[in-house]
Amino acid sequence: MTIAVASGKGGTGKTTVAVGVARALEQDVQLLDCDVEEPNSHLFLQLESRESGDFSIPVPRIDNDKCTACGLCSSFCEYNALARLKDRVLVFDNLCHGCGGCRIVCPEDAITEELRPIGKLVSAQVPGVHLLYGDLNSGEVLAPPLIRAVKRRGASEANAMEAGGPGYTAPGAGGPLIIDSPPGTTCPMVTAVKDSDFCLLVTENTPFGLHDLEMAVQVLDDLDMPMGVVINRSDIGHSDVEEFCRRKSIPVLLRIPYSRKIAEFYARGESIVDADSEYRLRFQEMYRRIESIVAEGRAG
Amino acid sequence: MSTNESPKGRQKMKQIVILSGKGGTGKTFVSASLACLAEDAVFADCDVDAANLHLLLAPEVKETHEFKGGRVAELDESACTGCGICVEHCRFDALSMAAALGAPAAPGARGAPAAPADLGAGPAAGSSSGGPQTAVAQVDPVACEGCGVCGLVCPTDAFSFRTSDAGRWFVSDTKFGPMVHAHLFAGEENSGKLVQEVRSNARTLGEDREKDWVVIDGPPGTGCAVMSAMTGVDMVVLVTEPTTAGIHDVKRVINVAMHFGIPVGMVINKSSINPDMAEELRTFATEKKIRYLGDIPYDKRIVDSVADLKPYACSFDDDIADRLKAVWGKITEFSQDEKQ
Repeated sequence: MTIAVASGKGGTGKTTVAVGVARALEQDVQLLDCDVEEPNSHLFLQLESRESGDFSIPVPRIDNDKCTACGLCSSFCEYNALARLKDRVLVFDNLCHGCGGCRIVCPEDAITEELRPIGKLVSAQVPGVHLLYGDLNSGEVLAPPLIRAVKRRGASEANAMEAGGPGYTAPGAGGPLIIDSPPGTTCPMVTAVKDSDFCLLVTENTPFGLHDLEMAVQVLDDLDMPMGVVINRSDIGHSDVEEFCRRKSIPVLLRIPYSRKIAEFYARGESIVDADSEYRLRFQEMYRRIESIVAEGRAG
Repeated sequence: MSTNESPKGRQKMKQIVILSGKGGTGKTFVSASLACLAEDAVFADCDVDAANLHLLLAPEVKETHEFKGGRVAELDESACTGCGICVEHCRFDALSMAAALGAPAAPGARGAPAAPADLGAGPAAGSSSGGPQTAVAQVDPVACEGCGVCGLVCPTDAFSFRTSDAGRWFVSDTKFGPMVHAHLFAGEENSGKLVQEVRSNARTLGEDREKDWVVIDGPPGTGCAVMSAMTGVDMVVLVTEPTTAGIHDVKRVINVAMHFGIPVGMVINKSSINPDMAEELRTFATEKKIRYLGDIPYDKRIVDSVADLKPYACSFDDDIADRLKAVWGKITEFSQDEKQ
């Protein structure tokens, strides 16, 4: 079962919940941190091993002996990554999305491609949790391809596990998989949560929290994905979030009251399930409820 | 990309952007207070994915404009022969075949259960015509980057490209001054382009009305939208918190700002939550020659003020309001220094 943890607004406790669920379960869990602009899940897990590889996209290289500066490539490029000068074409690597169109349109066969790293794909292990995360280099713009790469890698590791297993422990295909999504409701968030069985939306009882929750719910409705809400700092502010959930028939699966102790644990990079053992049980309970909601949805 | 000298020998208009890296550090809380303290300013909410500044500044919308996003491929299913060449060439996983080649597709079939949501062209259109069904390509509009390669390789010219209606941007009046803000529709991309749109309109508005400041509430993260929000500004004001994640993320933003050579100032919010880490941030600021603008303790009064939609510095008269005023004082002081 795949559960995405998302939130319209940043800083509501998305990572706290994603890591909390992963740590609380007694079975092996895969955790994919798809918040590639600032992956933080790993800060809350005492990692035992870490393997990191470049994530690259192909960018064009132009053979100036063959190039006639006809300009077909630069006029094809949607991203202004190629500029035609009088006698040659300049490439701006950081604008290139790696679509490969320039190579196809070039009549002189003057374009080849070279891989340019734009981030890292990291695989790490703690007892019971197999973590995969993407880490986009600062200043790079292509978050969605890296998010897709994290998800593809997650699926292939789960399949490898199913087939006898490499040197790490990951649950097999279909096992518990938690996705920590980027904040917001635009393209990167949709890319991260898409194809999950369930989405947990983490919010807070403030007008900001409610405003951004409404947008996130709209995205999930469009994706036709079952969802539940976690209200963080639930005893602060007004009850508008609760009312909204009631009106939309969205179950509130967990309420985390404002607690200085949890905030202090968070500050030190420690998980909520370590701050208060009560939360281990509450996260387990929440996971069981999600399981039954997903099962009902499948049966219905 | 810097501002032009204003006519009549006025002081050059300054642009500052408030950023944080990590979400939820109090960026908008600080932005709203700076906005209400800055006399003669225009405001820009560049957190277009999750715009919240308008909730605190209560703008009255004067103008609404459409925002056109990036291009998205659209398929004419009647022209598609199901050859699959486009799927082979798409590097963004945005194309798939609706059903296996040769397999009789059920009318209205959406392919595998994992098929993308039908946000774009309705899949039912081509599949209810009766007769033998061939598989056709299917576009996932969220994954599509609009590069045009599918149109280039398609032997039957079955693709066209439309520009999506991706959002709105507004020019408004608030109690504290004019404001430009925006709303990017759910699932859309190109927030960087919308940020540019908001910024350039805020700047024009500021110049027309001879304002001294453009105060920009920036987006979280370190990607495309953040770069668009910070290029050409006079100062980046970081709102960070003394937490492992807060420190981790703010360092990433600092790298980007330094890369552009933009002066950086830092406010430590929730400073009392972990005094050791707050000290680490101050030391880091000194080492990196970042201007320390002050700190604000972890206090329930702040959360309550946000719940009640009040820009703190202009709604209360207490120690927290004083600290916010001191932050604004330092920003104006530093911007005077910059001039020399």
